[in-house]
Amino acid sequence: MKGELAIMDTTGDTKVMWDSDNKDEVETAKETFTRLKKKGYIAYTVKGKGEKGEIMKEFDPNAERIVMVPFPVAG
Amino acid sequence: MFIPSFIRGNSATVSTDYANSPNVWSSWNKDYIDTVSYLHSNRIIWKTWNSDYTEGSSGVSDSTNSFFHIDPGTGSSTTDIQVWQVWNVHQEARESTRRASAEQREAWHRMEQEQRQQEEENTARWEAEWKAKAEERQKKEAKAKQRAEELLRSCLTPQQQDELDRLNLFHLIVGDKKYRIKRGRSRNIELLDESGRPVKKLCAHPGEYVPDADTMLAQKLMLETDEEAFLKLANHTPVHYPPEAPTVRPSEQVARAV
Repeated sequence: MKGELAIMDTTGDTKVMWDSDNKDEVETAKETFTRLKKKGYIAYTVKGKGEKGEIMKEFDPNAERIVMVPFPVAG
Repeated sequence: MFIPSFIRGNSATVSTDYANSPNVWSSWNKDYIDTVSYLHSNRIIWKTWNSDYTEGSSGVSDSTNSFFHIDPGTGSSTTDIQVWQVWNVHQEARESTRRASAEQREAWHRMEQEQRQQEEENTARWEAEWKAKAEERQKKEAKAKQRAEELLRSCLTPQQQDELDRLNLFHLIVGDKKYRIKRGRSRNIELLDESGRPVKKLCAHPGEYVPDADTMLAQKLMLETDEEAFLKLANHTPVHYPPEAPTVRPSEQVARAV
């Protein structure tokens, strides 16, 4: 099963892909996830067709898509 | 031997034997006499020559004048050759100074031209670099916008995608509340009342710069996953409307009162 981590940034987003059967890829994605969470990013699992997303506390290698958003501030 | 430019200029009509100055002088004088035929004596010729070739001067002997001229005097000892040699020595010194000044002016002019050319080259290079960087930045921005747009659309319902295409916004229902997220980064969220009229504007967005489409997706995710936290964080700006116009005209009010 393949997963995708989309990190919002100035380039639109940077994607990290992984195959849940590939330990190295899963580990890389998890490291990225954990590092960004420490920086204050909020992770959401999203599904197709605009279904409601969910906040993700821990990295799930079986998640299909994760969107990571920089910590929000009031405008 | 120095050759004055006007002698050189007359070389078509006077002797070109510059090594033999008496010949030059004689030839020149002869040529001059031909054109001013009533002049005969060397002295008169010389004085007339001085007068003609002294820039605006009366032709009186004056070594300080800008155009050197000499008076051969009245004595018979002053010969053509002597006049020519003296004239030549002085004129050479004067020409030497003039040449040096001209060379200096030319050097300055050349230096100024080189500096101007260098400045123009630098400006052109800077403009080209600036243009290339601007184009590169625009390309990157366009690419970033496109990526963000694709990410946003992949997280919207077909109806929201349609709204985005037609109206540059989409609506989001969270519980019993309806929000309108417009394209933008700040003050782009509106809380709507039951009739779909905005009652308040909300502002919260990712702390780091991201393209507008990313901001809109982040706002959508924040609102639908933790509305309470979003409302607590966001700035709220109530939307005020002018009081509704009276439904009864003043003239009708008066008529009713009567």
